[in-house]
Order: sequence, then structure tokens, then C-alpha cells
Amino acid sequence: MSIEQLHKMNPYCLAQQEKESILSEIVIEICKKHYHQCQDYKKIVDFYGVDLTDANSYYELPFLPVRIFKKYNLKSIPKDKIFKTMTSSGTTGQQVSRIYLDKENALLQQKVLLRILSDITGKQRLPMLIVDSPDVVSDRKLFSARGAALMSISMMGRNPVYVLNSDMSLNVEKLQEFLEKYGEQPNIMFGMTFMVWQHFYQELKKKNLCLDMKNTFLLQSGGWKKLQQESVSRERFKEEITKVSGISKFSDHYSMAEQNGSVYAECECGHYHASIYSDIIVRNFKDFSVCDIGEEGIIQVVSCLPNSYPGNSLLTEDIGVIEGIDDCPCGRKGKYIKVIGRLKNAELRGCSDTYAAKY
Amino acid sequence: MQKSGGAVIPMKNSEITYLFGKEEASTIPPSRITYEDQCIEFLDCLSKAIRSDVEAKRYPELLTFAFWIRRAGISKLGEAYAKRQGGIKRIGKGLVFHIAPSNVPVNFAYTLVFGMLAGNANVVKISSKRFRQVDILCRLMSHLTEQEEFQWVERQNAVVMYDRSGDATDYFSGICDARVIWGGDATIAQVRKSPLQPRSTEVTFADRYSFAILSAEAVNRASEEEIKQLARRFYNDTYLMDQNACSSPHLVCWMGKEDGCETAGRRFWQEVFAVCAESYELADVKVSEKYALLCKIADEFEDIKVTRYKNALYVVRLELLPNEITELRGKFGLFFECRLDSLEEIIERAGKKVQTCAVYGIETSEIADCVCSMHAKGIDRIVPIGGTLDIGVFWDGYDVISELSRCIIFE
Repeated sequence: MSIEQLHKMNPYCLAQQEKESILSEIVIEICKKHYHQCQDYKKIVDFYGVDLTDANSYYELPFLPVRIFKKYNLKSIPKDKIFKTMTSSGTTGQQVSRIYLDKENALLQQKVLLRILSDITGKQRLPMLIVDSPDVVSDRKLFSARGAALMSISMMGRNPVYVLNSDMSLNVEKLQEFLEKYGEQPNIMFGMTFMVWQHFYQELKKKNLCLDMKNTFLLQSGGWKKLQQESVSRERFKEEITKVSGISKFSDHYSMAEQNGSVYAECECGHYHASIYSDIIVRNFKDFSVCDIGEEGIIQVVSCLPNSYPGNSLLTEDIGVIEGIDDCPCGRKGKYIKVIGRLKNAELRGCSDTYAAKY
Repeated sequence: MQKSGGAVIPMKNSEITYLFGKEEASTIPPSRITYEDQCIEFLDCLSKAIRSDVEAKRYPELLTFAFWIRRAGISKLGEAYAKRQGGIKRIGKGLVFHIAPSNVPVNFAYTLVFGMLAGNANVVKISSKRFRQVDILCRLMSHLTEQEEFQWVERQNAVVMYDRSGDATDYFSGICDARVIWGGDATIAQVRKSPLQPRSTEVTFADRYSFAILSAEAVNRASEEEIKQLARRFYNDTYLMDQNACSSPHLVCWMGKEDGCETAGRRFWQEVFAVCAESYELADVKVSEKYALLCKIADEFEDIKVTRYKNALYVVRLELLPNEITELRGKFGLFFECRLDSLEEIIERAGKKVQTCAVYGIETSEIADCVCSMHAKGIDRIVPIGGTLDIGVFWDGYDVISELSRCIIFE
């Protein structure tokens, strides 16, 4: 089985057991390639004590801590093949991750992202609003995960309209113009969750504007950390947005720059699904044993997309839980998960402290 | 704010909170002689106050501090000190300005006591991160100084807190006779921007590195009970502070033949793991950091063998010691280990950043002799395993009481 064959299937058609055996075969093959082409990866696999030629399942693969991409330039392609260097948004720390993509891998990510999201929103390309400023994608030097997500997702729509100005203020005229034109037919709005909240919802509320966006599907991505700080839950987010805009269809997805493309999209039941291209394993922090359904732990992500860098099996810094397997009422097969949040920063003990932070 | 003469920098923009004592402390009252009896009496009463306070008793580190400042212990230190001085008299320098570290709550109290025992008035600056232990100690001290006989303590000592944006550090640095800086290299560099008077001196507690040496034979010979105790003491030296204390060992050196070291290592780590499983509060974020560190080590070092005891304990065995051992740093229960044929192998690698050598089954004097005969740049403390965190008047290579007092000789 190969990735090309996966492209011919519905991204959620495989039941867990079958998916595991197909995905394992593909992922392990790619890891073997990385092992020979990336010295750093080889050393970590060797210390881990896994013989890739003996591995049967992606459950056995070593998992790289995501932050390793902040420290090292991990790649399995020669320098002249680098097509794009993706950087993570870097919300968690000062250092950003660097992900090296060749052309093939960049296209693959894009293709899979569109396959997954269009399974949620529908196949046809719809008129699209983007809650961001066009500057994010026009400046090629700022090729952040946010920019990349926007670029890919904007391809799902026809003539995407950016509704924020350069200073992040809401361009209400543009928004209304769009709605006059397309408001009566299905359309999509996309934005980073926090930006939708701050620059769309709060602006509308401040201006006391109520819109009629009953035909709009709100696609979102990006972390919930900032909203959690403001105690805004997923449920409340939806309620509030509906109040000011009439939007009633939502889909968020869990993703990261280190495994772009194979995202975990939210279905109409509010569950985040793993597609046939990737999977999530939740591990107990005490010994990294695999958690049962319903048991919280550290999220490990496994994806068959990373081809130009050894990012197929990663230990994230997020806490999550598997909510169920193969039995979501929406009909999508495989695991569905809930992301609970980031690992909490522990209080450091000891006698040397960083002046800047604490003095 | 401007006080007695000298190079006083008038203070702007600084709002100072006094948790204990008053502004008066910085008016530089007369110095006292070292280990003055009034001072010992106050500390003894404070010790009793801590030990009988319901809230204070809940913090083991407060009890350790209380035990240390008992009259019996301090008097003994005083007698030994006087003996070492011979006929020389010692008196405090005047005002000592202390910058306490931000993440060891009770450390401010030790540095204050050092300053008091040396005969000084003291201003101790603590971090704005509030700790319950600090509040308790300040409360107990304030209560004691309500008594007539201890009022001098409050007039001569202050525990303060202020925002770093102001110029309070400039001010106190400009008027003090000695400055004590805890908190590591970055803090020292920052505080040194504030000049001292020409005759003022400074004691700096910089970033240091510590390690352990164990005799494989002694570990193999130890009884079940002994090995359990050893593991518990090693745990206290390391896990208790997440290996972040300067004196917590990161590297365990095994002295002995290959077979013996192999057996001893297995026996020792298995027991340490058992203590962890019972006592260590392993948090997911610690595991995440520790695992990331392990992967980094796996990538950066050649010829290593890693043993993982679940996620509680990672041991990285090195075939050879690098020249710079201070790079071998773990945290949250990640240790390096290496076998030695001779003490010299490790002593010659102990650069000036190396502080404590914790030992088991080897005479501490043997190592001290080796440090001297090899003219080693580092190692200023050799203590049995279990004693690395016991702070005292000799610390980091300083005789702190002497550093903070001046000698008067008469011929």
C-alpha cells in the first residue's frame, strides 16, 4: 500500500484495525528512509533500541519530542532540494521550529489538508472569507504555519476575501459586500480561532452589528490557549458567534507545524477525527504506556506525510484523550479525540534562576 | 531615602516593601563582634518559635533551618571559629546587602543569619515571587522583636522586596560594605552593574556543578538496609530539588573494576528507582522536558548506553568522560554515569565551576588531598551522599563569616 492509494479512498473510510496495518506499513517504510538519510534521526532510533526492519506497527516507533525541531535542523533531503522552510508560530517559547520541505512534501501536505477539510465542508469550491490580513501570505519571508494554513485553505475557496486590514481591524464594508454577493448561498469563513474571537466577534459586538451569515461554515484552526485563559469554552465560542453572526456550522481542527496537512478535523458531532493519513496515540506520562479510551495522557501524533524530515512520530506537549474508536455517530471511522490543553509549566526548583524572568 | 554620607545615590522610582525591619537598617548602625552572644540568643529563640509554630512546622525546610540555628549548634561553630582566628579579633564590616535567590524560599534566612553572625546590619532583597515560608519567618521574627531585648534586631536588619525597574539595587549597593549575590551568573552580571564603594567587598554564588563518586565495592558490600538508606540520601540530594541546586550531583562516577561497577550500578539505580516510585512527584511536563533532554543527549553524545527506569529515572552511561564534565547535566532524574580507574581521572577534569563532590565508600580526606596535590581548579566541598544540600557557614569555597567581617590585629 502507498500514499497514492490512500488518496483514492475516503479519508475516514478505514476502521481502526485495518487502518493501523495499512498506515504502519507506509509509515515504517518512510522512517527507514529517514534512518538512512538523517544522521540525527538514526542516532535517536539507535539509542531507543528499535530495529526498524523488525517493526510491525507504528506503535513501536520511537517518538521524537516536538521541541527537537527547535534545537536541530532535522531533514532527510539535501540542501538544494529545500523548497520551503516552515516555522511554527512559536506561541510556547522564544525559539521557533524549523521544518524543511521539498516540493513534493509541500504539495502532499496541501493535498491531504484539502481532502480532509472538504470531507467536512463539502466537495465543491465555495466563496470564502478569511479572517486575517492579506499581508500574512504576501510576505514570503514570514512563512509561518499560520501563513501556510491560510495558503492551503484559501485554495478550498473561490477568490478568497481577506476581511482584516493590515492593522488587524475589521473591514466591515468588505464583509458586507461579500455577504450581499454570496450570503444567500453556502460559503466558508476561515480564521485562526483566537483571531476570529478577537477581530471578528469582539469587533462586531463592539460595533453592535448583527450579521446574517446563516449559510456560512466557520472553519478554524490554532490553539485554544488564549481563549481558555479568558474562560471561553468551545461551546460558549459557538454560542457567542451564532449570536452575532447567525453562523451555525463550525469545524475546528487540531494541527501542528511539525505535521502539517494531516490535521484532526472536528465533525458535526464535535469530535476531532484522525484520518487514514495519521493517528493519535495517548500515552501515560509515568511510563509512556498506551492509555485506554477515556484516559488522559500526552498526545503522540503519527503521520505518513513527513517525507523530507523525520517527523512521522512525534511526542507533542499537549494533553488529550481518545474519546472513541470507529463509533462516532457521524459515520467517520477511526479514532476521535479531545485535546485538553498544553502541559502545564511546572514551578522550577533550584538555586540558579534566570534574571530576566524572575528577579 | 538618602542616608549617611559616602557615595550615596539618591533613590528614584523604587517602591520598597519591608517584610521585616524598617528603613533604619540601612543607616549603618555600629558593627558587632562575630558570633556575639545576643545574636546567638536571638537565633535560639527564633529556633524555638519556629519549632512551636503550627504553620511553620508544616515545612520541613523551616524545621531544618530551625535546627541549624539552635544555640548548641551555633555556639559550637562560634567556638571553632574563634579557635581558628587565634588572637585575631573580628568585627562585622557594617552593612551587608544580600540578593537572595528567587526559587529557594528559605535561602534568604540563611544568608541573613550569615550576615548577622558575622556582626553586620543586613538588608536582604528577596524575589517578588511570594513564598509562604518567607511570610512565616518574617512573622515569627517580627513577633520576637517586640520583646525589648531583641528590638535591636529589627533596627539593624530588613527583608525587602522591590520592583527591578527602580534603582533600589543601585542605592543599597552604593551604601553597603559588602554585597552577597545568590541566584547564579545572570543575576550576578545584572547586579554588578550597580557599583560598590571602593572598600566594599562582594561574595557571589555563581552557577556551579556537582557530581558524586561511589565505590563499587562499598555498594556491593552494603547491607540491604544500607543500600536503601544510600538511595534515599541520593534521592534527597537530587530529586528533592529536581537536580536544579548547584550542589545536586549530575554525574555518578564508579570507582572499581568493570564487573564490580556493573553490579553496583544495577543495585544502586534499582534502589533509587524504588525511592522515586514511592516519593517523587513526577509531573507530565517534567517527563516531557526530561525525555526531550534524553533525545538531545542521544543525538549529541557518542558511545552512550541509556537505561530507562520507566520515566522516573534515566541513566546515561558514558564510556569515556569528556574533558568538560560540567556539560553533563540532567534534570528531573536524569543522570550520567561513568567508571573510573583512578580518582585522578575525575579530579583533573574538575574545572572551576565544580563545587560539590558527594561520596560513598571513599574517605572525603582522600579526595581533598587529591584536589590539593593535583592543584585542581574546582571542588570546594566534599561531603557524604545525603549532605549536598546542607548549607553552612562554609559555602561555595568561601568562609562566609570571614568574608563578611574585618579582622583587627594588635601587636
